[in-house]
Amino acid sequence: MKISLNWIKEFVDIPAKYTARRLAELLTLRTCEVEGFEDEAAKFANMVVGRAEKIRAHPNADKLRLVDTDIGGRTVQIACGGENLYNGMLTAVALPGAMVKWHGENRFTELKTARIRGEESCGMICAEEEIGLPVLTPQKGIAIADLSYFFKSYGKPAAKPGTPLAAALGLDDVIFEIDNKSLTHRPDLWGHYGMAREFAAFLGKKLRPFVTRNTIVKTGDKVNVKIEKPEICARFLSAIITGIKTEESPMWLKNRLQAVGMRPVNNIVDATNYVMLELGHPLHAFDRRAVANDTFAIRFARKGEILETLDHKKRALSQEDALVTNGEKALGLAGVMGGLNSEISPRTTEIIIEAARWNPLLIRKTASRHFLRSDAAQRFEKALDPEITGMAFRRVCELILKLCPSAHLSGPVTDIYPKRAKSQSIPLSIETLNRKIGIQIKKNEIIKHLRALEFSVKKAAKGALKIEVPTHRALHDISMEDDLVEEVARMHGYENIKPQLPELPIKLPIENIERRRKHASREILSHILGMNEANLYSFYGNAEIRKCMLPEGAHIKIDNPITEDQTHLRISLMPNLLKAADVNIRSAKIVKLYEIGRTYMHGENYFPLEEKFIAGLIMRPESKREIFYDALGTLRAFLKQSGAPEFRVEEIASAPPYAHPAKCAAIMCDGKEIAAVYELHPQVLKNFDIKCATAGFEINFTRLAALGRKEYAFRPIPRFPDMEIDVSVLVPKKTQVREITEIIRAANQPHVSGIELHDVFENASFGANKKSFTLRITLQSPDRTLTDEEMKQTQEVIYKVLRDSGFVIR
Amino acid sequence: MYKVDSDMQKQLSQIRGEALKEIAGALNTKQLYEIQVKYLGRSGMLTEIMHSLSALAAAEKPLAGKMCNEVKKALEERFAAQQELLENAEVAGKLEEAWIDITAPGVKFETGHIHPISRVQYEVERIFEQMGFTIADGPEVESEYYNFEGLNIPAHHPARDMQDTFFIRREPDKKHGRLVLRTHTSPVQVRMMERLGAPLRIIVPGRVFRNEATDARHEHTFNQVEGLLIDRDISLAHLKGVMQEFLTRLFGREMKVRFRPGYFPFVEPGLELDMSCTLCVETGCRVCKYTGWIEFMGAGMVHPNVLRAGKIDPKKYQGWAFGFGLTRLAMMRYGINDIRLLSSGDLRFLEQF
Repeated sequence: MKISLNWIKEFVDIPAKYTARRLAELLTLRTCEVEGFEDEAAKFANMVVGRAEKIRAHPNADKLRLVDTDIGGRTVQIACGGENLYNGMLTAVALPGAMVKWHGENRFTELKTARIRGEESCGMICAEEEIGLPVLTPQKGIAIADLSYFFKSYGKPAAKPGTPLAAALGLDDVIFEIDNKSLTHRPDLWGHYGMAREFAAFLGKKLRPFVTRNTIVKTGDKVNVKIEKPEICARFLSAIITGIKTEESPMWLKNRLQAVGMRPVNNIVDATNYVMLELGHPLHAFDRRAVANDTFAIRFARKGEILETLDHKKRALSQEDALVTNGEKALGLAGVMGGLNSEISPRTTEIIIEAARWNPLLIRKTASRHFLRSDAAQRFEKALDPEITGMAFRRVCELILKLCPSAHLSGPVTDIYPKRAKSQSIPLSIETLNRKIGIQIKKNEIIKHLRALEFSVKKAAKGALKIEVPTHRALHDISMEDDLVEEVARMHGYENIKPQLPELPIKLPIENIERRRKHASREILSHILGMNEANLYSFYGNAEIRKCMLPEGAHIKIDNPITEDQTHLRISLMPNLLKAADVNIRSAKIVKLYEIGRTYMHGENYFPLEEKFIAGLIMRPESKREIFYDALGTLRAFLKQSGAPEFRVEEIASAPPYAHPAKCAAIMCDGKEIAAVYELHPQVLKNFDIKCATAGFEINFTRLAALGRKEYAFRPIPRFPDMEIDVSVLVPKKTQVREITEIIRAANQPHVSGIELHDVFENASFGANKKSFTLRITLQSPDRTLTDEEMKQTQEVIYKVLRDSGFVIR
Repeated sequence: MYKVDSDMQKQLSQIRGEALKEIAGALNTKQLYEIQVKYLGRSGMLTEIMHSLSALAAAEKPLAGKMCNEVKKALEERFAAQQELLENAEVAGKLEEAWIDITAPGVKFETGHIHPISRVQYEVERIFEQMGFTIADGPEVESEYYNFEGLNIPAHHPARDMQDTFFIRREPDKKHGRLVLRTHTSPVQVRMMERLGAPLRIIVPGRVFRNEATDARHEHTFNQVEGLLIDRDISLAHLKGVMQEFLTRLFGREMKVRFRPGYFPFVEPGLELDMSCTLCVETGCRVCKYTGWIEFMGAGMVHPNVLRAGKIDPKKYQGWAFGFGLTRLAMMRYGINDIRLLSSGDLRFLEQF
């Protein structure tokens, strides 16, 4: 919302010492967020009205003249080429320091005192275009701005020499741009009068009372108002004004509206808008002929009812939409937008004014139902003060009568106001207030701050006050002691609160083991295992579900997605990782990505089941080895580093649909599956247009973190050397290495301390479907050096058990 | 007295003279070693003589032995001295020759990278933990009750416009209403009050969602940090103190904060907290729109209705809550100009951290 400082100044005196920047800052610190401000006058800094006192020829230049110019209190000599100069002419004088634009140039530059052709020139007598003004002076030859002509043609009194140019031209407004969100709870600030009250309070100035002068008409035509349900409307004022002449509004009114971004329409509509911007209360004017029977019947819309609103849209109404009707036809969507059928037109001669205080909840619902966030709806949905409804009504009548001298009220005012707004009384404890703010504010200061905002303050018991809330703050705004604490705190100045650390007893925070292990996992995965952490979305769409061959029905669905890749909450982190891999494979040789995040599944209860997962994805386009082992090795190292208890790689009970069914395993820990590792399904890779083998793993982090950690325990360093035996054994191709190691282990040889797969080797000479494992077996004794004889014996036993199992030793 | 064979004496003296000359002439340790072998080796010249002593008469042996040993000792000393000399010279020689290209990159190690949000989150958690705050967590799919009503935002409250909400397609629950993707981390306030009661000192970093279109400055998914401190006498002055300490520690230099009025239904008084501009140090620049301040977070004293929703008696306890954007903090910290990069999974981005 835009606020004009000149408008504010109608209600409160702003001392000249406050710059626009300082006022914006104060407004931000005390009241609401100023997003920016535009200081018109700043453009005309160091420019004044001057009067040509004496015009002489320039001794050294034909086209220039020297002008002794009165700039208020002193006369300076300025060289000027204006051909329209005359004695006594009021001119726009830029003094050194002003920003001006030289003829034909686009940029503003700073003006300096100069000698022009040997003669001193202390400034510049400007043409309009040189100082960014619209051209008004008749352009004959080289013409400079003729302010005498300007004042005359606008019927303004001529400004005295020395008057700042901005003030003389009425271009000295400051427009503050206010963040509407910061006014959500303050309906009183949606107009200039309410804002002026804040300015008055924080500047310590008096707010002028809002006075309207209306003539009361006791007899004549009167509007008949019926309200079907009292909850629709707390107050409704109406009157007929006749003798209307719709025309363009006068300049001052148009300027006001335009300054705050409102488009002028005609004098009647402009008057209602003006009052809305002044008091924050919207109004509506109907063409009396359209209403036809001088009757307003306020009711809910009927089923199937349709209304064409001012924006030329035909709207199907809901039974919860409140309507203004004349008892026969709908005239407007109450508080949101008028009907097209009763619009003010150039032919309008008689109008009916409506000033109603609508139920904010109804307005809000109607506005959102019809996507009609009109200026009126934005205000009405905020619980306006019904007292202001009366003020706004009187003000708009006054204004219309002023704008149309021929107009007059045709009869008495109808005012339906069953329950008068009452000010509420709230006790305030000074001790509580200071305890919450954290500084000591004295009682008389508290009283001063509250009174400045028109709260009335009565002293109650010792240390307590009784505060009466004015009606313009009473609804949904100030209703309890804490609300008053805020009023005092902000008016006292938040900058006066000194930072202080709380004096609390030392207390160890509750340890969040999961969070600690999460950070540790990142260190391991990124800094030890060389993977890169990504942070991907919690949802995906049908495309990813299809590509990953996931069951659509297992997903929790978003009801109101904006894009089609956010329709389903993820049940796996893998689809988005694959999407990210696709982005990367073009620019990176090796992709090693992981994410730590949640999956969301239907739970047994109302709340979905959220589990935390670590998912990783590895691509090595130029590697020949099984990519599965890259993932498995990473996973093993991770589990070991993160102190997971004993785990075992097993056949997976049910592989994820995007995993390669033959290249997939589970990591079992304590009888639970804590991770899956796999190569991606070839079809899935094809679906994502990924051309190289890709492996993935998924760790159920929630389960892993719950398992606890393996404790480190010291084992003595062996004092005697170990020995190694390499055993090469020929096996069928689909033999698991574990089968062989189990056989060796089962032989139960006393000195065997380790069995490791050293090499897997295939060779045509082995025959089809054969391969060779080379196992490296370590022998060690804790108390002596083993003999060659013992090594030989062990080797013999191992050979025997392997042969007995039907394998050939190479 | 017996006289030792004068031949032998002559011979020893000759060997000694020649050996010393050769030692002095050795140019490197290898030559020196050869000389050593020649005289003192297993079949060296001196060794031979010493072997031959056994053939001497018993009476001559001691003197002859003594003479031999004297020569041997003298030679050994010279060998050692010359050895040291030559070794020193060799080290000096090596040093003179040695050179390495220090501009070559060294052995390459493949290391990975932690996401910038995780990095900042870790720092934030660490600082608050040091001030005694517990790190709490809550569901991302939240109920309307916890996300709104419990926070004093009833249905149709205009404040619901401030946060465009993703709804889950699901039948609403009587108490909880519809399921939503939490629009802020604030619902964890009430959850933790219910679970832990007062006094309470927590922060809640977490992912939140807003149903809005994305551009360089807006994301539908981002991270927030909620903070909550409830005790008997906790005031706004303490909020200023704690945040000033936190930011000073985080940015590693003196930071200031300022309050200004702000509106959030779950706090009263409601505040916006600005921090001193990290770029211009309060002198005014483009980043802070020439105010010297940067908008940092919303905060305020917890609304009595919220305390009541969390089963805490507002007459006995009071405190403040805050919420700031972790994503925005990370962007400020690292000068990231497009929020979408954070969720892009693009390695060219991730590898920078």
